Amino acid sequence: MTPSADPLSATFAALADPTRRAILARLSEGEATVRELAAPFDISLPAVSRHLKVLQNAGLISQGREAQWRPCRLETRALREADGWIGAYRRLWDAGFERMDAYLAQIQKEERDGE
Amino acid sequence: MASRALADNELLIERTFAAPARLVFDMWADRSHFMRWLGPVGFTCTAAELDFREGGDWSATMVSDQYGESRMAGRYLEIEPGRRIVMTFRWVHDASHPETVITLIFTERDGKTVQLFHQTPFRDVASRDSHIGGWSEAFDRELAYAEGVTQEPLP
Repeated sequence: MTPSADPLSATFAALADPTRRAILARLSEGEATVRELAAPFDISLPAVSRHLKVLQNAGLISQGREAQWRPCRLETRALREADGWIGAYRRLWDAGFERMDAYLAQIQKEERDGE
Repeated sequence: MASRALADNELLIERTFAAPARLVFDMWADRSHFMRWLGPVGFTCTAAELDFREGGDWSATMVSDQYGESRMAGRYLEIEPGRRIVMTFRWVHDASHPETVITLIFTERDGKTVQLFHQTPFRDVASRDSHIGGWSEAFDRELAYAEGVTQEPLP
């Protein structure tokens, strides 16, 4: 399985689906087999396998090599990167909008004082 | 100010400014205004080129003592004067971050303006268009939320 060329895009694409987010939530509680992961969903095993493949390509999960069970586990590094990416933008814009607020007050005051 | 992620890959920042919508819109549209607020405290916007029309490109440079120079750029996809801007955003020297699309919606009420800022990864035009469709629907809910019409906070 080769990792995607653009890891962050792959992460976001993988997270965009509610079933895949539910699978990640389940794996946050511990390892699980494909069959265990499929149990809560009204979808086929192959469909679950496809979701797992997307998650694996995005580096969000890994799957053990033991032939019979191949338990899935969460890889938290990719998730942390996604959170950091959103968080960084949030800080950037929040700080900018603070300045915008002060600047708007200033130029409107100047406008009023000029009249 | 509300600031939260809608989904795992979307950022929504809602902020009310004590200014008319045309002026808040100009904060983005007018180069001299844009340069005054862009970037956190400690950063200075040293250059900006805004070809403010649909299909036009924009770029800006921020400088700080601590982090040095950061260049950002993108393209204006949709412009509705005083109401709405859709633009792409990318860091010029940092290909590790995917290009994103920013949607801004300005709504004036009693001389104040609610600015809804939405940013999400930009993949291709088809996904962007379907995204904007979904976002427009979500916007009605968000606006009701912003106006305090709904009593229950959204999840």
